[in-house]
Amino acid sequence: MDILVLIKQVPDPEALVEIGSEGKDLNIEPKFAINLFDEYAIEEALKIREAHGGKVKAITLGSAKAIEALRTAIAMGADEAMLIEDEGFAAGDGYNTALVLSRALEKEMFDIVLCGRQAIDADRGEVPQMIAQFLGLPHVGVVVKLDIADGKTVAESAFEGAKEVIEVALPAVFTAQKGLNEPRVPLITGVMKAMKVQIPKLTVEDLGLTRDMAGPGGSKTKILQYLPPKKRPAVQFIEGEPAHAAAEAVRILTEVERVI
Amino acid sequence: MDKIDAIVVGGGLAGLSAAYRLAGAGKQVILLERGDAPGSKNVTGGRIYMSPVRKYLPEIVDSAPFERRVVKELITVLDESSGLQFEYGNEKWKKEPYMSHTVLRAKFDSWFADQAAAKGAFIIPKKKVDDLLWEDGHVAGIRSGSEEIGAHVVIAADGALSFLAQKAGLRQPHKPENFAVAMKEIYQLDEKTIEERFGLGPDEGAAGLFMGSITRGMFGGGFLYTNRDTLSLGLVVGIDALSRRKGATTAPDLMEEFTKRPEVQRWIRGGELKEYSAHLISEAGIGTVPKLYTGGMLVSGDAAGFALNLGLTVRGMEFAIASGVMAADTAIEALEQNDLSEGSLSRYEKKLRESFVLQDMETFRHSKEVLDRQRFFTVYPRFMCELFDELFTIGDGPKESLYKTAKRVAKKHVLNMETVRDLMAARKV
Amino acid sequence: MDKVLVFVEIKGDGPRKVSLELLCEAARFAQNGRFSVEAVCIGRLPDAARDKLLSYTEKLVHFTDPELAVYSPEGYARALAGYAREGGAKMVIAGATGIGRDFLPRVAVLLETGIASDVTGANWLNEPMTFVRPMFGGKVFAEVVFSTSPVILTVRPNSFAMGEAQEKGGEYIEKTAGISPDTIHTKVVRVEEASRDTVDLTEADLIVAGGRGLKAAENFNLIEELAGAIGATVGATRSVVDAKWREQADQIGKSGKTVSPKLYIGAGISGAIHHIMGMDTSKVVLAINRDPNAIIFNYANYGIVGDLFEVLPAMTQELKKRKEG
Ligand SMILES: Cc1cc2nc3c(=O)[nH]c(=O)nc-3n(C[C@H](O)[C@H](O)[C@H](O)COP(=O)(O)OP(=O)(O)OC[C@H]3O[C@@H](n4cnc5c(N)ncnc54)[C@H](O)[C@@H]3O)c2cc1C
Ligand SMILES: Cc1cc2nc3c(=O)[nH]c(=O)nc-3n(C[C@H](O)[C@H](O)[C@H](O)COP(=O)(O)OP(=O)(O)OC[C@H]3O[C@@H](n4cnc5c(N)ncnc54)[C@H](O)[C@@H]3O)c2cc1C
Ligand SMILES: Nc1ncnc2c1ncn2[C@@H]1O[C@H](COP(=O)(O)O)[C@@H](O)[C@H]1O
Repeated sequence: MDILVLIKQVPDPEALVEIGSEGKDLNIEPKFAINLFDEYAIEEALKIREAHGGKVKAITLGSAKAIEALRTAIAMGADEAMLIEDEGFAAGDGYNTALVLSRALEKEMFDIVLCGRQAIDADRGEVPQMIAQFLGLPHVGVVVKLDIADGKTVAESAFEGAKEVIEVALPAVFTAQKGLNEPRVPLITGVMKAMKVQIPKLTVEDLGLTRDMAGPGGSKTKILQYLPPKKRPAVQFIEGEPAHAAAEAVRILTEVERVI
Repeated sequence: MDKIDAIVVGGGLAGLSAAYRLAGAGKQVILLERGDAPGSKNVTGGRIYMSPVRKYLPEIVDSAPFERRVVKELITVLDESSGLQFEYGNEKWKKEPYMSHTVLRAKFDSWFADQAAAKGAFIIPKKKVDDLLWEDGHVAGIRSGSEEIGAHVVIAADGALSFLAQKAGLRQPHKPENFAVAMKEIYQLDEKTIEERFGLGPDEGAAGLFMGSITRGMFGGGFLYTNRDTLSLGLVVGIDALSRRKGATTAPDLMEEFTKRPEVQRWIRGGELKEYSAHLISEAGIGTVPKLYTGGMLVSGDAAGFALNLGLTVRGMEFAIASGVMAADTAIEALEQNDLSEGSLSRYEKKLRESFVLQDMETFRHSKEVLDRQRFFTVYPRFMCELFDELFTIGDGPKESLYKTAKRVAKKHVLNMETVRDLMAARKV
Repeated sequence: MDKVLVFVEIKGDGPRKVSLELLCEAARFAQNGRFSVEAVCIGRLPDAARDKLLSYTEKLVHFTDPELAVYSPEGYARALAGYAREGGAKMVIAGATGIGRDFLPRVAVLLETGIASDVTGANWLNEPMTFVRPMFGGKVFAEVVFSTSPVILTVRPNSFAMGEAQEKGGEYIEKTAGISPDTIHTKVVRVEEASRDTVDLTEADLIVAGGRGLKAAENFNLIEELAGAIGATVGATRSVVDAKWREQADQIGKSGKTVSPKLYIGAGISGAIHHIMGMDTSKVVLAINRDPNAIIFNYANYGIVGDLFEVLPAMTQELKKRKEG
């Protein structure tokens, strides 16, 4: 099984995010991590390789710094990695990201593409499905279980309340959800190997695209401005003995807020 | 077993300095840090003196992302309800070479780690070293989780509670009286406000010390440092003193009272609390410095007990950097001679003795005994506060002459046999 | 007139609430006569659901190909994109439900246009239209515009108000998309519906969530009883899910579900940012925690500082009393 894992370097979940001048940009504390859900994707790829052989290759579209995410994937056990270095495309909309990645995938041999359910920076959850459509491949989203046996691939997808068990023909794209597995912590020897490895880089031109496609004229959607979340008014404490406070809370919710 | 040249345990300043130096000399070195990143677990009040360390790592010291250069000292003596503050500034401090800088460790350490990585060191966070590996009575590597990694030399830079030094039998189990607990808060405040409030120019900073009733007579004191757009505020108290109080007062209680004092509020007012941390400081002075090396292993920084807690100020960063570099230099020589025996590594101690590290530790050998006299933290501050109280208060009666006031207040608080003993002891400091 | 397609999703016997919310919102913004709105349903459509939908829309288009009887992203995307292209739709909207978020990105690619996912607000009448969507788990919002047509959106449940059903029913049209079986490469082997009959968290109007403060799995009955008394769905923090007190499906937060109810009651929850990210767009928040400094109070409208083991049963009791009284 040859598996491609698409991973994205995102700001650390704890990083501070502030809106810059006039809402035109974001100031993000420079702490980075592999997207949470992509770690599940890497782990699943490694597990499949361990069971069925083959190789695992991690691919990212991002800035030069994104190579760190690829090194982490190698430290965890991926065999190969590839950086498509282009900040414009990486910062662009889902369509552009998917376009670049699908072009890169056209040049690869693979049975399985594993992605995260959603990147926790822009919270879009679009790119893998778009890639699947660009390449004319099936996909199964929000996967919590993946079984490959007797030439059959069966995925369990956790759509809200229901769980769907889906049989899919390979090659196919899967998006990983929490619960799929427990990502392994890289070994020290893995990290040492990862630091030394040469990671090939591609440009968007290598993929037959031009940089201006990621510019304002080329992207399908763009962000006009960033807005702060609505601030909730300061909390109102409901005082008194538990029984009294509870009754008062019920009164407020029914009579004042009218939500129940 | 396959061996790499060196393993450094701990990504504080001692460890980073050692790794940087070893990698710079072309040695294969990995640094293991149990925290999420170097600097993520390190707590420092926040002031580093330049001249002791410049000679060891000039390129680091001169380009590091420090916060502000200190041009002003603020000393505040506190009684239960009154405070006396004086300010000392020196024009000399405003000119290069700057004497000291305020520093935020998370930023500085992660920058330093990048420099070491650029030299070729493998900096690996989220790895806790659990044990040492041995071969013929020599340290031969480490174990971390399920992994065993062999190395010709291990440098233990694992901080004040160094468990590696204990594992190697270089150090006695820890005693509470040898540690102080320090709490620190970081408040965000914009640059302009900080500069106006403290009367500073751009890039200029202030260092504040607080002593007196804030520690309720226990060994310790408070500090305040101005960073670029934050303030570091903290309190240091002896654990031993604290535990003798039998739990009546906890360290966080003291910290809370401290931050509520108007003498402190005036500085931090309007600041948003961003971070809270607590840490141990080894403070027993040279009396507790362990043996510094054994076959295949060297100990540096706080792990070696190289920190001076003078009650009000803590000095440790310079010792950490210098001892890290000297440990690395010793290791490099030993690796080149292919002799990692205890005898070969003993050159480390010689280097330390010739440097400020062990010399300063020696000078302050007795400071702990002296400073532990409670009166330093109760009686003297009270004396000073009351003296000024008498001076500034105009009652309905006639005002005494200044001399008379001073003598009367002094008699009440400080002119007795005990204080004479304190003074005798203090000559040693 | 600009054609707007609203994809309507069926669950059980009826349309999903978010589908109706979108039809109501579309009817509102179409009032100025610039837009014409059609509801599009693919696959199974029970009569009851059809009738209900027809009281919320003037036109309901139903794709009945046998290949579309069960959901597949490939099939649904082709059908919806094909119809949008055929009628020259200017906008295609779906709820940001599991299914909506799963196949609408494919529709965008088929129509060579972009998508705005999980939208929580819109200025339909702006020129160009602008849409607001959360990023970084709700730490900031982005205002998005499209430079291509059509506009493709998935909209978070509970973002737009429900309206009244209309008296006279709309037009109902059956169609086939001509999907051949070999274009669909996935096969649904089995669907395990959640055993509960309550509304899914992402769509729930009322949520009662519990955290580690409940101390043990069995104490969740306090949460369930209160939820039962008001018809709410039960949610949980990650700590609780990791401890196996509740299922993964109940987790609210960064690595769980994003909820947006009218009322969120949280008990024994500290308010870690990862949890807050999943519930901060709730309209009214009531937090119960015995620690007055618990962070969750910073994100609550109302707070009770007290022991949840006393407060929760007392609330349930009070609700019962009111019902009877
Ligand atoms: C509140 C406070 C204020 C201070 N103020 C000042 C000041 O103003 N000026 C000054 O010069 N000094 C000050 N100091 C002292 C100074 O911070 C220390 O002396 C200095 O940080 C010591 O550096 P180090 O590298 O030896 O240890 P540390 O910085 O403590 O680093 C040790 C590292 O080892 C890691 N580690 C520990 N065990 C393991 C393990 N088993 N495996 C892997 N990693 C491990 C730890 O996570 C840590 O990162 C202060 C200290 C405190 C607590
Ligand atoms: C990358 C990442 C992703 C994460 N994703 C999520 C996520 O999606 N969702 C999520 O929820 N968490 C998530 N977490 C975990 C999150 O950081 C917190 O650990 C978690 O939310 C805490 O759960 P809690 O509030 O139940 O527990 P605690 O933090 O332990 O809080 C328990 C609370 O109960 C109160 N309490 C105790 N007893 C009583 C009583 N008798 N009466 C009243 N109050 C009482 C306590 O005062 C305390 O505030 C994530 C963490 C990471 C690192
Ligand atoms: N720039 C990128 N490079 C590699 N993979 C990406 C990139 N952006 C998104 N992905 C993949 O697509 C998933 C969903 O991302 P998104 O649609 O942006 O939420 C991620 O978890 C990744 O697996």
